[in-house]
Amino acid sequence: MKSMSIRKIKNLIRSNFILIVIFLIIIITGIIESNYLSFNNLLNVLRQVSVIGIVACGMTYCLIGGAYDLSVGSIVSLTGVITILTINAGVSEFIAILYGLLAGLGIGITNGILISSINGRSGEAFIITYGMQVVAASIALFPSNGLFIAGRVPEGFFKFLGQGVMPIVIFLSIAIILQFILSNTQYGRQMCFIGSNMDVARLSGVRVKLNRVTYFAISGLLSAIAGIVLCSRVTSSNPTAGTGFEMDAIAAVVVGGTSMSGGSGNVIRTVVGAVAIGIMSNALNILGITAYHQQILKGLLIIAAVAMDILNKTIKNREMEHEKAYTG
Amino acid sequence: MEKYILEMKGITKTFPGVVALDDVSLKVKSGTVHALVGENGAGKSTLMKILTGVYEATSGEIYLDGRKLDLYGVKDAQEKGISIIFQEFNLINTLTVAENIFLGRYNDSQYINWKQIRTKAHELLERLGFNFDVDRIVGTLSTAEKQLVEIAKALSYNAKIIVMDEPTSSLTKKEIEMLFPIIENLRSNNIAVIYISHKLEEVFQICDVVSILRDGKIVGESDINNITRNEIIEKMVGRSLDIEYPKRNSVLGETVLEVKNLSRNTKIKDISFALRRGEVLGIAGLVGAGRTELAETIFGVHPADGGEIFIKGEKTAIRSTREAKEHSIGFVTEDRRGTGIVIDMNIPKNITITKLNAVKNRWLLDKRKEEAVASEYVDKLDIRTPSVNQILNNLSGGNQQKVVLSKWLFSDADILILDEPTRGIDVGAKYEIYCLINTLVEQGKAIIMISSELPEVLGMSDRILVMHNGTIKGELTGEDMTAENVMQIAVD
Amino acid sequence: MKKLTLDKGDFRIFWIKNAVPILLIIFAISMVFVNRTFSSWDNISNIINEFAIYGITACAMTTAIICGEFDLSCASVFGWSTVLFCLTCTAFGVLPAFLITMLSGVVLGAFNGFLVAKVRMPAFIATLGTMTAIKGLAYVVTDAQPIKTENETLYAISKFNIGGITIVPLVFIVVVVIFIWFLKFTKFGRGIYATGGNYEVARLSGINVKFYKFIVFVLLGACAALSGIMYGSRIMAGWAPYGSDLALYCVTVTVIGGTSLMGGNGGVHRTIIGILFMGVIFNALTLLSVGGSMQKFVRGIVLISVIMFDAITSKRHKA
Repeated sequence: MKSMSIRKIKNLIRSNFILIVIFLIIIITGIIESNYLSFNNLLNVLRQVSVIGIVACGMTYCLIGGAYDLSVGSIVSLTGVITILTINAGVSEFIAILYGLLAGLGIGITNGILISSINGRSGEAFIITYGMQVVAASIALFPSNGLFIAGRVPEGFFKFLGQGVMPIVIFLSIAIILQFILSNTQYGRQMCFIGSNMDVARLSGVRVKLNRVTYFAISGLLSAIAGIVLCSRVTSSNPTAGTGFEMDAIAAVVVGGTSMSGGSGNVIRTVVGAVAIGIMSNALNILGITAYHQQILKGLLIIAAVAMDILNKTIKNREMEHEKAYTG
Repeated sequence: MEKYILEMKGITKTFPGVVALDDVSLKVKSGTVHALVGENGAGKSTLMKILTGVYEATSGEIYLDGRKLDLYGVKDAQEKGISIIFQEFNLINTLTVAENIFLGRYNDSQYINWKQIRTKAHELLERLGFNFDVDRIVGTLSTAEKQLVEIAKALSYNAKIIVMDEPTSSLTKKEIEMLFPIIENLRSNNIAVIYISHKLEEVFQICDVVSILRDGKIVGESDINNITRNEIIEKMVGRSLDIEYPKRNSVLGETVLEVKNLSRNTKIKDISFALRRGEVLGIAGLVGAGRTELAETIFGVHPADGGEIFIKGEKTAIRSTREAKEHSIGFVTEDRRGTGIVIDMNIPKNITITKLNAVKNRWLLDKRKEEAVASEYVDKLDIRTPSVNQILNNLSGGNQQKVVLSKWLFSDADILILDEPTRGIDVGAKYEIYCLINTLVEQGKAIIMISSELPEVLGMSDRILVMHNGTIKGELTGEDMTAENVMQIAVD
Repeated sequence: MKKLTLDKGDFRIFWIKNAVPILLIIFAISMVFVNRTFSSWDNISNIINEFAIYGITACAMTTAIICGEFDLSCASVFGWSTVLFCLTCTAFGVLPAFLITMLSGVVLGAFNGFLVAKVRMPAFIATLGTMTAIKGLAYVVTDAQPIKTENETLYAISKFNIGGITIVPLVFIVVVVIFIWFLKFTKFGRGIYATGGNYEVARLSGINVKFYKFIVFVLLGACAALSGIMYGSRIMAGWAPYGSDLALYCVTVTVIGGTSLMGGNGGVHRTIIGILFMGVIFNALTLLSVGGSMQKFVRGIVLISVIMFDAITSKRHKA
């Protein structure tokens, strides 16, 4: 029995290895720089993390459903451009937000329809959404020819979205709602089935195609929300603002511990992943490590997290085989 | 003193906690066809995996031509003269016939002489009596042709022993008739063939010697002329035959499913039949006759493009699996692990997926309800598991199949289509599945049972439809339901 | 050839199989009439010089796709190589720079190969990670600024040409010939096909599948570095973002050529058609003065359509 609990602790450490390492970095920085762990600084980090975090929540759904969505970064940029342009044209800010959301939703639905119409596996989804990334990014470049657009944003609801703790509130409520849906509803359960084994889901009478479209739609919509929050915070839009967000989002998801092979995952853990990465990169900033160095780290972080995931699975399978052999 | 090409002496193989093979000895002579029979799980495949170097024996020795052999994998065994032809062929579908035969070897040099390879491949196929375009892509070949390529590949290694694992399981009658002369040919070339099969008729037709495995032990070996079919079966199952198919007393009720002139492109043509409550309708036919395709059409996996389906008297168009489910149809597929269950989810999740609505409190899934449902079926179907929340990977094949049945029972399916329901399940569990089928029809369910095991269809069905080439070629009832009659219709 | 008459189905297969070359010819001919510049030698040599650079990596990408793999990071390796080449060129001269850059390409490719073959990581996510890391590396080294080299030997090499054709197309042709030859006529090449066609079967046939999964990434790393060197030597400069659309381009031309993403079939000779196709179309767009972001848009649309087409036809083929 004792060996069992030691094994459990080992498993726990192994499956959260990356998170533990990150928290060690944070603690060390906290010791070196005393005001690093201050409430204000953490709040600030959280605010910065929210935009990526919202995108990462949508990415979690896609990955649980068994596919990547690489178009998210471009959707963030495009939504910002559309919203700011609409506001600058003097249209009501609610309509501007609506346009932005519709654009993200539209691209997401297009992704979903394309992929589920060919019953695309993760490889095809990867490349199609990659193509969509290029398409959406280029559309975002059209209106301003790639230039930064300053927004003439009046005080009001739109501006409110990016102020103070609003981004954090939006981020966390989205995460909680998505996690709740995932673990407590029919829709969430079916998502796990589709991600684990699409054929079983189909042959159990689940509407696989329709469901898959919704994962990309949600991912697109959330990216649009992230784009709106982002440009509300900076009251301007940059047609390349979201470049590389897909990487950051995937990093948050894998560091959080959602498996790359689909079928299981947890949105709250993605939040933890996003926040951990955010605090880490803040810590690295404080330690004087540049953004470019951090990019290297981020790439390696994704690799390490996925490698750990694979390692854990191998170990778990081996243990399971042993147990099975013993019970006959 | 007789000379054996192959001697396996005292082979024992233990997996942690399990003895898969217990002191098995097998001797095979050159130029003979040696049958190896036994129920699933008897240890045939373990034994052959040891012979071909996939597994290492815990103890025991293998002698080839009098010399002791150490094997390090399939390739090594091949090079030493032992080839195995698996049911799922070891061929690469995107490459040509010639390349597949010489895969991984080509010529002695690093560079490839295509002309030489093609000529050699052609010669090998000619030795087997076939004139074959060696440039064809293997993916476009029929099963029988693929088998031929495998045999040619074995010959190219100068195989002394060729192991055939269920070689006829997916061949048509015509193709089987083509295969047997090839085996004769191998025999006359002094090659030993180890022939693993469930089909005893074939064993009697083609083999010289038969060895019977049960529970990891050899329980009998005999010249084929000195043993009868029933003796073999008795040794295989270790008990007499008459309890193999339990009796039932079900009452036929009203018609629940009627199919009229159903077609789907070239796969199934003009199918009409009716199914009543309390009935087990067997569908027999050779592999490729369109049985699974018919099931998939009725279940909406690939919707029909012609004909009508009536359910409980009402005309319905089934365009998707969801619609089929809503019309109370359930479908137990032949590929359990691939399309029946999610192997790393637990029992409740696997069962409730067909009717999540029923385990909800208004909007949300209720895990306690799910567990209650699962325990209900675990009790009812006697699913043997340490706990209700067990992951399916930890269950045996028979118990996994019961989970698949549970999920359709839970969805209130009245019409159950069972495609090869006892495939890959051991004898004891098979019997349980049969009893379960009987209980279900006694409760008024209607069952369509597709099976390649003829005795099973004969033993379990009230009525048998025999399919051939996408059509229903005959219907057998009562006294007419004999193996001979079914085969008469099923073959051309 | 055995049949003299073609039925309807044969025609359809003929069209599907040869749609790309036919479209290419039709498009090229109509361009000749639409735009005079198109058929001028200046423009044609321009197309050739242009596509040869990316074409080198496309050959290696085709090989990887045949082996059932995929590499996003080649784009970053390209950018990094332009940087490294220019830096080392200034410091040590052309030949050492060439060798160092090629070596770095091989090492980076080997790292990808290690992750995929040994750690068994999905190539998509592994190369997504290395893509980010390598790009970061290139930024760090140059402080995100473009760097120049003024090596005179390099200048002479880059200006050398025969009738407008520079040295790059010659390198490209050599690379193509080597790839076509070894893919068809060596054990090594056939091992790549077998591994991509069916991993398990190839393994059981004694083919060292892990080696092939590994080596295709090394080839890709080397070719991406070579492409980077060609680009760097042409413009005498290096910058991290150079070649950021390389992976997209390579996958597009490979699949347009008719090498399926499923693995195990196709070939570099087909990719040539894809390269020509993309070369002509984008040259035409430039001549018709279509802007950069619009061209980018077209690239994305072409990629998506090609993947959809591939998926639909290969799945129908299966069924």
